[in-house]
Amino acid sequence: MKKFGGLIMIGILALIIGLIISVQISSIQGSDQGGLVPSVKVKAYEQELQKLRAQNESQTQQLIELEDRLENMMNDKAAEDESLKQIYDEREKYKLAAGLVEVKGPGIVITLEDPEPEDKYSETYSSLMYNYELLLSLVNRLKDAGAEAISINGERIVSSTEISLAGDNVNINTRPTAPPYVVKAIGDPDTLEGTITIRFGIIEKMKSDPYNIRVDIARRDDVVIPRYSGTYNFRYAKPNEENAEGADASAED
Amino acid sequence: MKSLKKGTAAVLLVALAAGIMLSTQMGMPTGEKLYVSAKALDDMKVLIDSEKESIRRTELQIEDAKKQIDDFEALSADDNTEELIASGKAELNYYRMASGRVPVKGDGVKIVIADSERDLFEGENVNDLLVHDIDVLMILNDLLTAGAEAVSINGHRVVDMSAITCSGYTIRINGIFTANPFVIRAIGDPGRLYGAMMAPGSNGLILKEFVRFECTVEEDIEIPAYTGPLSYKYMTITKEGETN
Repeated sequence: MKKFGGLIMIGILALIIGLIISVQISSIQGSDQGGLVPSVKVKAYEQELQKLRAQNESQTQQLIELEDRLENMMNDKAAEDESLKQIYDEREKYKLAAGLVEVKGPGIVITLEDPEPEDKYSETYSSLMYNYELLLSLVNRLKDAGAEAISINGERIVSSTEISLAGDNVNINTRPTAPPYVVKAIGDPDTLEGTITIRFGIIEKMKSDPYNIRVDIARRDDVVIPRYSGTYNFRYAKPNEENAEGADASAED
Repeated sequence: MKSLKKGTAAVLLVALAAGIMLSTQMGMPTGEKLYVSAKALDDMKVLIDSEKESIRRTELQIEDAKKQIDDFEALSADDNTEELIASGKAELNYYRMASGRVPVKGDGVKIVIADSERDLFEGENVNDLLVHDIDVLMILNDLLTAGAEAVSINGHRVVDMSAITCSGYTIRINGIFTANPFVIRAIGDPGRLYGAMMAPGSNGLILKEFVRFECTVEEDIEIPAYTGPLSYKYMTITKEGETN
């Protein structure tokens, strides 16, 4: 027994050191529950975000260049052939209607922010995200007011756009989003603003209890709305045009 | 015996010193700490995920654009105008389909939502038994979340800018008035669509407690094309590249 006394002591010491190390490490890596967080960790997040944004930017630039090239090639070809030109012109029209091109025009920009936190603890969930039906209502009102294009945080609203609460996130076009929400709409600014700001309207509802959302509405002459970044998939829906004029009919001539 | 104790004491000292040194070392990089709420951290993570997703999509689009250019070059190199026309038409049809300008047919679900016909309970608000815009919006939203590919409400195709408003007996969809009830048809994976409507806790089931709500799986649902104009009064295409 005596022989092992030293070993036991060393064992206990090793245990304590191990504990100290693990506590230290966890205070650097963990603490995603919020509270007192090492600023290094916050900075790391910020840096990653910045890096990703820059990467995204340069990729978008690359995409635009490629598309310009294709467009020029098509225009050159179309100049030689009348029927080709017709098809390409039609194609542009429907592409626009499908929300697959970036557009601009007069309209309004609505910024929605969660209520100012009253204390440290009230800020643990987002009023906007848990009441995403407010966003649905707002978008519906804007459509009703004759909006021609709408986006929320850079996601274009198209026919297949969903606003869904997935876990703690609100997904729009299957892309996770977080507040503040910036809703842009192109259309007649007077009508757009008037429709949503009427008494007992959607904006009033958002501003009042229990939501207390901070709302800012600005009219702009050139609201830019990006194109839909997803793809349309039709695995179940098939064209049903036998009796209607359309693709099959026009394919004949 | 004595020497063992001496040894132990020495080990104890060294280990203690090592422990303190280590802990001060580890403590260094943390520097000052910030108070950050859980929500702010979460939001930042969401933004990072979101940006990654966006990058992934742009990558797909870049690949797609490269392929299109290659195809186009190949076709125009041998001056194959007929092929060019054919591929142009195929693309045109895809965009027509995507913009909801093509009538479609496929399997899916049919949903009927109507004001309740039962009597009011004591103290119940009459509004509880009526269908409101938001009810239909939520159902439509759930269908889209479940991957609906085409949706019609009372025979009118739902497209990107379709508004649904409902007041009293009339329902307005795409600016056209129709009467109660709401009949929604959606084409997509019938199992997923039905599940999204009737799963425990779904908006459909909640609605069913107050108003008439029926969901049935149907084959070969026909959904008409959107017939609205293709012209716009306010928006114009930005010339790519001149974005702000």
